[in-house]
Amino acid sequence: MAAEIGIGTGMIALSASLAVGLTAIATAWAEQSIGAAAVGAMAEKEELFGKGLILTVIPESLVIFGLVVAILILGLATGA
Amino acid sequence: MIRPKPMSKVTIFGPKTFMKQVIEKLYDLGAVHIEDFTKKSEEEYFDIGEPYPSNEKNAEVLVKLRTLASLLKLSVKGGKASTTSIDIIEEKTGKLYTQVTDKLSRKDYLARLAKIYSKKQDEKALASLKVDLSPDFNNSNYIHYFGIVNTQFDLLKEEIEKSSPKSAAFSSNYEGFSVVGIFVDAKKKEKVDSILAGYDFSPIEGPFAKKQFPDLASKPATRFVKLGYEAEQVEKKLKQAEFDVQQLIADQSKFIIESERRLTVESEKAEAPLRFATSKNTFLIKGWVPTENLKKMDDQIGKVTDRKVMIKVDKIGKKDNVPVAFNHPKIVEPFEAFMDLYTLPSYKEIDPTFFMFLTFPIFFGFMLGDVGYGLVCLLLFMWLKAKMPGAKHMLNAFIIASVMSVVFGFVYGEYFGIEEIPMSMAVALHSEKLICQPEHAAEAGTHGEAAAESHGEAAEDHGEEGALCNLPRLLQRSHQIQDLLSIAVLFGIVHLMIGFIVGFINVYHAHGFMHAVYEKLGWLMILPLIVWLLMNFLGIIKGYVATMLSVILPQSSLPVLGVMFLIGTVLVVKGEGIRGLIEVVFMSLMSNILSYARLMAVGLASVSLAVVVNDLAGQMFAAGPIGIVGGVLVLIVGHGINIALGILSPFLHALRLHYVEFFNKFFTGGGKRFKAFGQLE
Repeated sequence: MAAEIGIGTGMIALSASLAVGLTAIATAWAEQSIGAAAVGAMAEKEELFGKGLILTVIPESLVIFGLVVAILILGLATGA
Repeated sequence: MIRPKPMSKVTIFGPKTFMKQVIEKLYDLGAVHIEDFTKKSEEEYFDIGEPYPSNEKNAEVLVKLRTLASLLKLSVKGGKASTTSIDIIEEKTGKLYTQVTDKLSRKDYLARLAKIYSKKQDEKALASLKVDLSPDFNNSNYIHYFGIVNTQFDLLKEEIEKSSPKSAAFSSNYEGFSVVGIFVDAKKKEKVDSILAGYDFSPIEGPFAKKQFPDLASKPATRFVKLGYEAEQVEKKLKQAEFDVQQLIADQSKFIIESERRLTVESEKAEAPLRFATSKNTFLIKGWVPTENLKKMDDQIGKVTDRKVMIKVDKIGKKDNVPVAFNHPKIVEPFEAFMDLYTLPSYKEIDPTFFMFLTFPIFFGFMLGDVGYGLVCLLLFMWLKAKMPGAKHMLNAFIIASVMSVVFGFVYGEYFGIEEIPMSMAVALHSEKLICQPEHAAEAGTHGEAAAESHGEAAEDHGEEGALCNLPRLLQRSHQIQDLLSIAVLFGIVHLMIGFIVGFINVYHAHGFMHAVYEKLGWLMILPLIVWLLMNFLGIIKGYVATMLSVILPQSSLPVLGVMFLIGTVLVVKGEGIRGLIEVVFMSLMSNILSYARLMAVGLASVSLAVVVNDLAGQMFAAGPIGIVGGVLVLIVGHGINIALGILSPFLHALRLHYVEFFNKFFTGGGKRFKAFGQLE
């Protein structure tokens, strides 16, 4: 089974993993400072939970796009 | 259901002589949200009202009652209001207060004392005492006491000297305790004994006293307590003191809770005039009444005041911040908690709670989607609901969401991540025809034909040894990723369309038809091209979802969609200005739609983890008895973690899709909750 996977497929898999992995790092990076600030604000005023949550999860779109791109790339592998 | 309760703006105006009756009536009705009167300048004719004169006294009693409740760890939430007269409550509270503080401080003293004995610190305590043993006292006419006492030394000394003039007393302080050494006339022993007993005198045990004062030990009259005796005594006393406190709680908690309630009610009534505008002889209340209660209030107030108080209904102005009272059937109510978490809708816009009720459980279920996990969650939330009645609303929402997870679990055919059972087991159950379903086309984006082909193959497999029986399902999550993605994105498109339509209605009511066209219809016209791009250019939407959608948006419709897009863009730019243009250029709508891909991603992560846990445990089971123990452990821990994640992330992501993607299309919020005067918390 393993022998059947050519170098091309391997590259495709690798690029898909990069698409998810790098965007995940970017998301984490962006969220850490927003999250810290949001928790700080919530400690002062509890009603800010909703707004804090929204601001914190905004960068999540990055990793979602990464995932979508990864799926598109994997689509190449099955298509080829 | 999608609008808050209609409100009427009322002004209640009358002579001050009727103020008390009106307050009483309004409180009983619990139907008016009072707007606090604020005096804007000194010249204003009206003044802020003054509370009832009785309020100050009541407030003191109330503080005592609340202190009692907190000392005795009683919860004063809820409960009936007592009907006893305030004077009796006041008297009883005063007595109870001293009783409780005395009992608690004695209990505290005994508990600390017991610790001294259990840590064997009594020798050290005695060592801190410096006694000047002059020969006068060192003879058998005197008896002596060495020990710890629960009072201040000066007070004790005074009392002792009064009862036995020939005496000497010494003291020291050890970790907050008064350690005393007392010498008194032997004839006065009984009197002194009773004084000391009143202060819970605890003599230091014999061996230590003998060591400290060797020459006293040789006196014939000397008697010291045995080692260990006093520790036991203190322990006993402590138990009794604790029992006394428990007894007191059992006897008095009803009185405390009901009186607290009563005085809270009284003080709310007494302080109500602080929220009114008053002149020398009149008072004026501004507030809001649900229109359905208006007539009742008018009648009742008319009755108690003999129609001497006027109620005027005004038109709601543009700038009025009308309080919002939700108006939902019982099943939608739990989702109000999600609005509280964000911001309440304002009075004039559509209340999105109902839409959340429709879509939140579907999103949650779509992500969690496992019969086993759903049932575990269901039981967990029901248990939590019994444990924490305070979070009842939120948990009810979760219970509905868990039921949806079970439903989606059947759709996906997943039971704790198990998707298939060995054929032999299905045959043994005599139900292989019933439950086994031919293998679905595994490849992403397979079309009807390929699916039909593999149907045939799978059917042949059935007879073979070691074949697997696929549990019935509509969609196999772990293999039909592309279909799952398409469905998730389709959810997004529909959700956003609902958002824009609701937004259209909101803007139409607030600013008129043309504004609604510019701001919302424009976006709705942009949407089809984006969907077309997702289908035909990006290839995100594939498979049967694409087939379905292409009925509405065939590939050849591009020119039409392009024109619609351009018109839509012009409308959006007209409605929202340069911001709108930026949003169109950067395809914010597409990113909104793709954001719903998380519905697929979160679900996929959950099922993958479950499959990994099952496989790992399966391999361990094959490795003998130790493996079985390990395997069970892996199953419990693995699925435990997965369920915890499976609650947390679907919850957050479903919530986020509503708050960010959905609400942005129509919701402004900023309403304040309707809180009726006299409404219990």
